[in-house]
Amino acid sequence: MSFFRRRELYVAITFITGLLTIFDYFISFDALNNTAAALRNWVVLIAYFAIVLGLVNTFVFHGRRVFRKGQQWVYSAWLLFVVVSITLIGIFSGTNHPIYSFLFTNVYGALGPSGYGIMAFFIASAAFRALRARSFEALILLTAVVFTLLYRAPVGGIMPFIPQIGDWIQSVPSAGGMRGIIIGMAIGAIGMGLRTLLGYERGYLPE
Amino acid sequence: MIFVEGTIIATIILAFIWLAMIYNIERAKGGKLPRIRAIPALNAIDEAVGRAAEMGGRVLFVNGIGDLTSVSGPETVAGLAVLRYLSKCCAESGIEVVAPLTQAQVIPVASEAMRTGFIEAGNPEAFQEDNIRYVSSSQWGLATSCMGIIGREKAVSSVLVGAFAGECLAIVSAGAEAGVFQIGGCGRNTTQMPWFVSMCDFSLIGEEVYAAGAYLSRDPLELGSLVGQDYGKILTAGLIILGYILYIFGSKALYNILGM
Repeated sequence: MSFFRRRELYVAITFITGLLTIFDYFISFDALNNTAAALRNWVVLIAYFAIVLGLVNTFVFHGRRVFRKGQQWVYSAWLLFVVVSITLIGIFSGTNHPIYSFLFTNVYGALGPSGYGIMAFFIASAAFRALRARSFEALILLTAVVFTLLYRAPVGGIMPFIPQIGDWIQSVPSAGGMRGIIIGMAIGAIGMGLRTLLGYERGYLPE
Repeated sequence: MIFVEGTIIATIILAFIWLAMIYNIERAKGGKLPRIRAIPALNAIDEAVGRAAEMGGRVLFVNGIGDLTSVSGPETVAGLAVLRYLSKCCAESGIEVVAPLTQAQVIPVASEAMRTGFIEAGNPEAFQEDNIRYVSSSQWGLATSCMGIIGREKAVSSVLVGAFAGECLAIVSAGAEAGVFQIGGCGRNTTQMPWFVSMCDFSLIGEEVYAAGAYLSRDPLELGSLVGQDYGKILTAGLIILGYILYIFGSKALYNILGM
């Protein structure tokens, strides 16, 4: 097996850098803090360089599909055309060029809010699925939702007991349940951190 | 060399949890295997693969929008452990698993996890690099890509484990609409959990996501570490109860100690 594909190498790098970063959080010691700061800078740089991997992956996958005239190859061709066009405009005309700015603001910029826009319909659909009272637990959930909806709606403010009940649901059972999940999750993350440092968490490691 | 202010007790608690985990790992090494409760969502992965094999479709795996270098790293790594197991099951059944990604830095690791799964199944030649796809760094790019894979590429089962934000609702909604068998869960973002619970056939909540790798591997050492985590939970619960009692009697002693 190649030296660079050895599992021990990955585990050793993870162990050393992981411990350095953890100790940096708890201990104030110049040499340690400076080393950890340098490591964090490396991480930022490596993450930026990794975008090249994304570009290569995109070109290989969609390029292959176009050349083979595979399923929906027209979409792939259009995607590659857009990626190349925007990149060339950005490189040769600068990101302040009117065409680049127009495309970024009116195409890319508009797509994000559009995604959020359709969420309202998905939320309504999810609520409909969740709120069918098919069991006792679902009935409790439905009751809590009705009170919370009334509490949040303008009309709830003038209905008797609704503000008090809605406030209690949000600040006692809902907050308590969420905090329980968060505490369990935090301890789970600590456990996973240790397994990763010691090389027991092997899901991401090569065999 | 001194402790950073306000981290002394945190260090002691972290050390306690780690020592408890190491103690249980050593017990597991000694042959005292822990009993872990069943996690139905993880058991259902085999069912998801079986369904895809029966219907001649694919399995969609979504690792979310998290990367490996931020607070979402643990969730992303947990998701990759699931991808490895899922790939192994798919390779054994002779079906494809497609994994769209939003973080370029995850591509090589996800590719390695999928390849390892195929190797473990004894079917390495079935691994296709094309099934690891970078689909832009945007969460909506991921959502629309997954909706496209479900609609156009006949994904009949989907597994979503990783760090998610609002895009997960769009993905699971599209899946539910198409009748896809769905397993989903995220750890850190508690506001997204209701969507998984309401729209998926099986869901993972909170720490179950982080335990996925250990649970699926069935490695006694990994399972031993899960038992060690329970000591941390007992300690936390004890501190909460003690703090509550002291607060009733007007004392903030524990609050002040924990802030050291």
